[in-house]
Amino acid sequence: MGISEYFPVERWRRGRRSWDRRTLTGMALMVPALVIVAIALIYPFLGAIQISFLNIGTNEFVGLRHYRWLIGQDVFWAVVGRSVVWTVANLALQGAVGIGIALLLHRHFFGRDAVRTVMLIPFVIPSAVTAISWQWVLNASYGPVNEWLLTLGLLSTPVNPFSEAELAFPTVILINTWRWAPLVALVVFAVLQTIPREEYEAARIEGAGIFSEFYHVTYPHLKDSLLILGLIGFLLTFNIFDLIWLLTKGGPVGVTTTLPVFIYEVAFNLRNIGRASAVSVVLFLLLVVFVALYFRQREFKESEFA
Amino acid sequence: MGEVALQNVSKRFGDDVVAVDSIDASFRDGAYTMILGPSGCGKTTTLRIIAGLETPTEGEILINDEVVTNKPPQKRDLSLVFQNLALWDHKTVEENMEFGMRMRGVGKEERQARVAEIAEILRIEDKLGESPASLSGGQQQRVALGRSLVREPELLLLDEPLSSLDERLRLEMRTELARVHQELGTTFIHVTHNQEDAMTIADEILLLNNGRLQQFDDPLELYHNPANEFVADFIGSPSMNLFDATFVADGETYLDAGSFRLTIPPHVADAFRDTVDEGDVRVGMRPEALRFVTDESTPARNGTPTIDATVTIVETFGDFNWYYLDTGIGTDIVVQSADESAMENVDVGDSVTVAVEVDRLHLFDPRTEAALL
Amino acid sequence: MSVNYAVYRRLADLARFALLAAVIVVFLFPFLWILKSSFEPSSLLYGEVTLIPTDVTMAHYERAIEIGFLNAVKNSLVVAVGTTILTTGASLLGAYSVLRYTYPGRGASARLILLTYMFPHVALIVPMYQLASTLNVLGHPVTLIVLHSMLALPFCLWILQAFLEDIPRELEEAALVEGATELQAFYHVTIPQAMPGIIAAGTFAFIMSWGEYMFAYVLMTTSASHTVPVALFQLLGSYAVDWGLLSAVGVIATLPVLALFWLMAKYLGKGIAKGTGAV
Repeated sequence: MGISEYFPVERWRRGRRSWDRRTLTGMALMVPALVIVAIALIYPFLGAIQISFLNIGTNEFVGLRHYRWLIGQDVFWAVVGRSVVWTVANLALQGAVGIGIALLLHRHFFGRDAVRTVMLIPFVIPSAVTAISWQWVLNASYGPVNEWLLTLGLLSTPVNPFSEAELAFPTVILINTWRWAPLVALVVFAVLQTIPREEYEAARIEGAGIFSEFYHVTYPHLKDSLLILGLIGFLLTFNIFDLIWLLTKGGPVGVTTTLPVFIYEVAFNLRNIGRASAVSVVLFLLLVVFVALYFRQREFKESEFA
Repeated sequence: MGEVALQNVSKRFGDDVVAVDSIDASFRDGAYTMILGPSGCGKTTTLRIIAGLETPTEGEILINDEVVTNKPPQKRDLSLVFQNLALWDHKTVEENMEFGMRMRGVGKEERQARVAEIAEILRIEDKLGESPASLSGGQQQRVALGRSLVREPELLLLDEPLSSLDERLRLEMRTELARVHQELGTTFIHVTHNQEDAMTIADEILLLNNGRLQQFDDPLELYHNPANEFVADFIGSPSMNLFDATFVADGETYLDAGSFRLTIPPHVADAFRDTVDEGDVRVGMRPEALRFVTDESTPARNGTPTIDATVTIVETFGDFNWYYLDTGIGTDIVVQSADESAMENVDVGDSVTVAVEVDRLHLFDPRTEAALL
Repeated sequence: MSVNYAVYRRLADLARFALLAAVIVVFLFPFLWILKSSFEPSSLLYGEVTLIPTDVTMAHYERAIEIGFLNAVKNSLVVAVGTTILTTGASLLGAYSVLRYTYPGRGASARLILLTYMFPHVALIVPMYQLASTLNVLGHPVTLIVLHSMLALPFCLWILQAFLEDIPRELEEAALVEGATELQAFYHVTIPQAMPGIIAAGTFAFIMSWGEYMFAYVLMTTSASHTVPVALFQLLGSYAVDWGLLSAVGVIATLPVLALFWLMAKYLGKGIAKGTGAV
């Protein structure tokens, strides 16, 4: 009693310590993840921002010169436009193909699980192998596709789609769709499995056909997942470098040069790392704006990571 | 020794949710105590505070006269049977049961011996090698109980352990719990929303509502002398009949309910006058304290107050019936009767007379809800 | 009516199977084609196109071993296994932290990790290269392991968060009540319960790391340190294109991930579905 009643130091110490311990444990558990992101993303990211204001040869500060350069480049804006086309076309195709496959799998049949597993293989194959096998399959001289199309009379001369200015971009988009659509199918299929059978039965009793069944029963269930998938897909697709580079190196005549490929080219072929970094920062800002708009548009469910 | 005391314990979540509101209570060593209350009354939070899974916002917890308020659960010698059982299905039944002893560094042989012993008491000795997921609901219940009992904690906490069982199994496990408690003599604190469970096996009942302690007594005391209107209403099935009335004591002593009067017979009228002021009161009558007055078998005793009413609904239970009576006060008065002639003769639409046992009348203050009599 | 409906159903089923068969063929064809080509003598490769090789040879595989491609496989294994362990560990702890603890900066750290998908990875190359050469770790597997972990981390965090959310808190509390410390409860209860999620996250990280090209190309500067995708692509440029060899190398490059995927497909599928919030 006595003074300790007015100054319950023992109590404060006890209470604080238990609060501190849990807080510290929680923070400590996050440290490994944060260290990885700090070393491999935050540090080089800040480095890139710094470089975008420097002349890398002389290390002198050049202000917004690199940014002014790229704003004035018609090529830059063409590349931005191409990146948007690339992303939108990929998402639309992957969405359509993925949902289509998921719907085909929606009814139970013998071997469905096997099909579901096998269809993921394009996603598992390393992109370098994907690039090589498609180049070989579509090879103008010895590839089977050209051979068969010639035999069927659909082509009169062999075509190398990767070197034709009109064909290269659509071909790369289709191959990328081939790679990612299975993943969309997997996720959509998982959502479809959660739709209660009764909802379809009720719709059928009410006389719904295939299309109104999809619109009134399936689509409302899919919407939330598609929104999240769409956001992740947009960011990932926008930043794809490996597959495009391995298939075409951005050619022919730049028709497959999207922003990431453009950055690589400016940095390593044109050897202007300052300008390349400026392009990177602008790309990042574009995506930040996109994500901000997306989040404002959509009330996301309370999720810490999304 | 397994004595628990709560001293002025409160728990708030955020700024406006008060789960537990200044509870003072001491749980007797070796007793089977039930914490009873409707859902959301703070009973599970109270139990989790005793277990050390929650820290109270205010107040102290004492176990065997030692303050344990800020001790984590693993440093309190107690165990808890969870509502969802929380069995680990990646471990076998035996591994589940020996876990507590393993954490305390008990040797393998002793662990096996103890598990075998308890498993036999609980009749699961042939399930030790199996995964809990493969067992029936009742067997899982026994495994959970076994995991908690095997290292002989001083204090066993049970959070609605019977709620997930079907009716038959629930009755069986209830008896089982009482038996195990008797055999081991451990202090049991058991949370339930089921007043029947509490009335049948508890030595003492702590009744909570809105985080506040309503009454802490043995079951019969709760039934016969409810401390307030909430306790009166909550304990007993069907619920106590409660209605508004005016207590009048001008020469005649009676309760005026509007459409009928209950005249207090002279031999208890003085007791009423001494403890109750004139004016508004809430009157409580247990359905089983009312009986039909018929000419042949159950005449009204001299001076016993009666009520005239019309039967609106009859519910049949076999050995007794519930009668819903319209007396004109707005709510039905329920009578539980096992009287054979009444069960044969009284039907919907009949006009009946009901006698009220005056010494089983309850009066409550309409504002504070506290018992007056 | 019922006869018509039965016919309609039968036709719909047939159409479904035909479409699915077509889809499977398109998804598998490129890999099956290099598998076939890898066993075909060069003389047949550059001749008439046949679905079944008329002659079989191991020459391309012998050549692949001769040029030291197995060294690249070894490098990739080191990097992918390292990435798997680092990513799975970091994301398991991170997901647990977000789910079970509150502390200032929790939401911010979680959102920070989303940045991973917003920044063009190409732009990280130069600063990363400078950092690695300053620290003298160019060509060292650890460099690539850290980068690959960064790439796999967000999705592994999502996967594990989704799996951990499904573990009732009471399972851990039961361990605490039985006398375990928080660490013991995590080890004895949380980890075994989260095992399907841990396997899913690990498989995802391995597949991602195994196939990554750009960082591996820039940072694994010595040919002795080349990983599979880099070594593979080196062949496309440096030799007069030998499609038989490329096919064999492509098959070797794919088999390890394919085997892993085949074993873990059940977990990976569930992990991806949960990680994207589908179920």
